Amino acid sequence: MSYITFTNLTKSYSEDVIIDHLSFSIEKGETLCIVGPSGAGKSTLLRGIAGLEDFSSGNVFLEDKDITRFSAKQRPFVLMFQQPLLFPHMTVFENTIYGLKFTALSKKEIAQKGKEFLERIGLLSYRQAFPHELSGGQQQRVSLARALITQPQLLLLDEPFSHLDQTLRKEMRYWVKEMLREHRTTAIFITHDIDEAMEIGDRIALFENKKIQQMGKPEDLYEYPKNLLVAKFLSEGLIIEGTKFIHANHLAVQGDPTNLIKYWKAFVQSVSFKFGKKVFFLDIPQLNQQISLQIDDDLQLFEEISIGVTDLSHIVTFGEE
Amino acid sequence: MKNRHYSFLFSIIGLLVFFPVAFLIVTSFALQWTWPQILPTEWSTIGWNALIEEPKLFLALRTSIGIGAIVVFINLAIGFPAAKVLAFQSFKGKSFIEAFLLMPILIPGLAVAMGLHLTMIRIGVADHWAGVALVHLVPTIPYTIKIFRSGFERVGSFYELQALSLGASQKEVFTSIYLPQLITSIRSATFLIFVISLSQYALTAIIGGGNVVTLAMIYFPYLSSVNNAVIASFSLLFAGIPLLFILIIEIVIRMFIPYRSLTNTQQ
Repeated sequence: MSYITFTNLTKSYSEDVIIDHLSFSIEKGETLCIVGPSGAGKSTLLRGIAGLEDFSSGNVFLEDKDITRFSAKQRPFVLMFQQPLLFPHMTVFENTIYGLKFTALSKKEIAQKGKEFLERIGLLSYRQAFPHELSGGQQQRVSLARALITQPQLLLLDEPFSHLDQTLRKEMRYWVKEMLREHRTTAIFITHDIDEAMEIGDRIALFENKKIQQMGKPEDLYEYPKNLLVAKFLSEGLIIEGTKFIHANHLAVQGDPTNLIKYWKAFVQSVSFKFGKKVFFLDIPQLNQQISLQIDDDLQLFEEISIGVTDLSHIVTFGEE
Repeated sequence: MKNRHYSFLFSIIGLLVFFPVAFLIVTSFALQWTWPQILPTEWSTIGWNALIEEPKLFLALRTSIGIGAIVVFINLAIGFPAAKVLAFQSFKGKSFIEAFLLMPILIPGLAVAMGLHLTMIRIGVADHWAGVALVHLVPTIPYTIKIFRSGFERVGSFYELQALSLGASQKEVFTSIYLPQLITSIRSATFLIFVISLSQYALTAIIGGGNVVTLAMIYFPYLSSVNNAVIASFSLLFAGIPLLFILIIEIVIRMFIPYRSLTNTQQ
């Protein structure tokens, strides 16, 4: 039996179905990243799991205990929102220990734990400061400490880095991953940033069109998308004839198309550099698609080339959407 | 440059506040003060003596403060949840309810009081302090809801969700999240409600039927008095009571903020 199991979770507002019979489970200590386009209902799903909103139907099991009817207070789950939401009238220390006040721990134990956690996140010297005196990244660290200090059996993170700048985001990703690993915390992490999901998640799930389209290891979703939605969102490649997909791994770019069994004309739109290599942004007018590819050849800007496959088995056909 | 502008502005505001109060204090001790003297030529405590010798003064003070406190308490008890619902929930007929709640300040209070009087006679609270306290809700509740509603909108509902998720109960959310963050709203609402309740003459007279003697009931007849010193001392007392009340409220609020006590054990 899995650690936490969700069965047939459904959420609808009158006629409008947001989540449709969703079933999945998560193992102890695992981080599951749920990705999906904005407005897909990811946050609603997380709030439902946290007990802050009711599902229309479905069940939540913690090990073999049905906790569907448990309120947010009763659930051993903690939700972290997009904003750090540190309580502005409390000091950093008071914020950190907030969740412990509702436990049976003594004041002395609470103080000890608070100190320990602030030390761990490197902000002990800020313990008497108020949240507005901290930077965005520091606030988010306090927010994570405040969630982890209660030792939740499931930590729910709703795009916690979305308002941080790019550099800070990357820094926070590693830090959070390390914290989750160190505390052996089971977590569901929501993001629309694919790189973030790939780096943090032990498993990834794409949530789109009210359902989980595919769930698995990051490399599986990237290499072997199960349908077009997954291919479009998580993988890289070309979609042809509406139902067929060629993974970027299998695309060949050549000036002379004689070796290509199936090919299209492409134009070099721009050049950038990544990991010490040149990355070309190609426009394929026939398919009305663009793709970024790392190519060893030295291509010129606006140069016409051919892009295609050398083997027809590289074209994967999905069922109709 | 900007600071100079501010200090000029503060001086003007300071003068506007300081002068009337200083003038009242001086007047309350003046026996003779004629043009063109800058200060009174004769001083006396006659104004204050007249006030203290007023036989019903202490009864009126007790009744006024008592009724004021009850009105404040009921206002907070009704205003808090009502404002929270109006700030965070959307439901059918919300704009109708909003308009309905504002009605007491749109419809003349006297018209409402006449109708309410009949009801109060029926339920037996006319000519009684309870009836007066109830009728004082009419001109105060709309303001309380307005003040708290904007307070709730300023704080937002996310802190509540975060606290609930961290294991807080609704009561703990109230004491640790909303109460401390809505202190400014509580302060302004309490002050406003108390002042409105204290200065109700017509509503108190109609519902109290002369049996309920509040400060306003004995203050207004004095307004026709020719003795400025008596009116000035009365006015100072009238203005001082809400300030004293708000001071007490402030102390009570500070005693009830739970997280401060925890901080003290930490330092």
